[in-house]
Amino acid sequence: MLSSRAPSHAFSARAGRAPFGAVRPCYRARRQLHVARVADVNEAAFEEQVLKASTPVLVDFWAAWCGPCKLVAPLMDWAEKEYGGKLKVVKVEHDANPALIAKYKVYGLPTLIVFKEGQEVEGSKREGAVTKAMLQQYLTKNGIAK
Amino acid sequence: MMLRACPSATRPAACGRSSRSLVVVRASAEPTDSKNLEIMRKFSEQYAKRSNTYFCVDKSVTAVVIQGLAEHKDTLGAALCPCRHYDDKEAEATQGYWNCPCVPMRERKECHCMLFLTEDNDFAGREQTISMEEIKNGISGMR
Repeated sequence: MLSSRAPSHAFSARAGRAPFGAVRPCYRARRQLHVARVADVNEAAFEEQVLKASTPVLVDFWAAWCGPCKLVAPLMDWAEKEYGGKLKVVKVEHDANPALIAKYKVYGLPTLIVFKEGQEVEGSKREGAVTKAMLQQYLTKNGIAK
Repeated sequence: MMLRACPSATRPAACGRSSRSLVVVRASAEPTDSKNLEIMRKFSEQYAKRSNTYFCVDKSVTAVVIQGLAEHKDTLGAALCPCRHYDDKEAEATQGYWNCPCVPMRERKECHCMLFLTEDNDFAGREQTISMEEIKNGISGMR
């Protein structure tokens, strides 16, 4: 099916004061490498890792050459560490997992969805890049506290 | 550029526990279609200037998107937005809605790839240029 609808662009120009926390880091001097610490999950493992998880799960749907996905990746690592055992974070690459993409109607990337007790938390689907502050607000809004 | 340790004819046969084996490291560049990457680099600069938008303060984001556009141009013949999922990429590339610059960008300056950012966007930098070196630095380690 051709996607003709406009994207629900979650990123607002007014949202957040600075990317990546309170201080805007300088990117000129160092190379940004994509180092993913959270686990990549595929269709075969999704039920076990996400739907049957004992804690809430934040799922990050991403694509290889998606700039905002790269921006968000370190925040996923941060969230998993910051929320300790209260939150599990996993990533799903879109091209390799079309059934999951179709099931959860993911179009724009990155898309974040929170799952609890085997279900998608209603209203938790969010497209677009987020800052750390936005991510914290998003998790709080979806019932996940530190 | 990727460095690979190669088993090489220059590696001497093992001759006891105390011997040190010689590993030859060869530098090899990952294959890239530099023509479309350069085309998309130039397009991005020109369109940013024309639309009064700016690249992301983190230029590796810009670099990644330009690479994604170039890859779609290689494989589909069109610069399909790399920040979306498509049920049928070929059909989408033919239809054109999501070919860069996509309709939301053209109509409302909405680029969810964060390639073209309006001045008031928190992630917007001050630049409308990106060199090939910056692109290659931004995408290195991701292939």
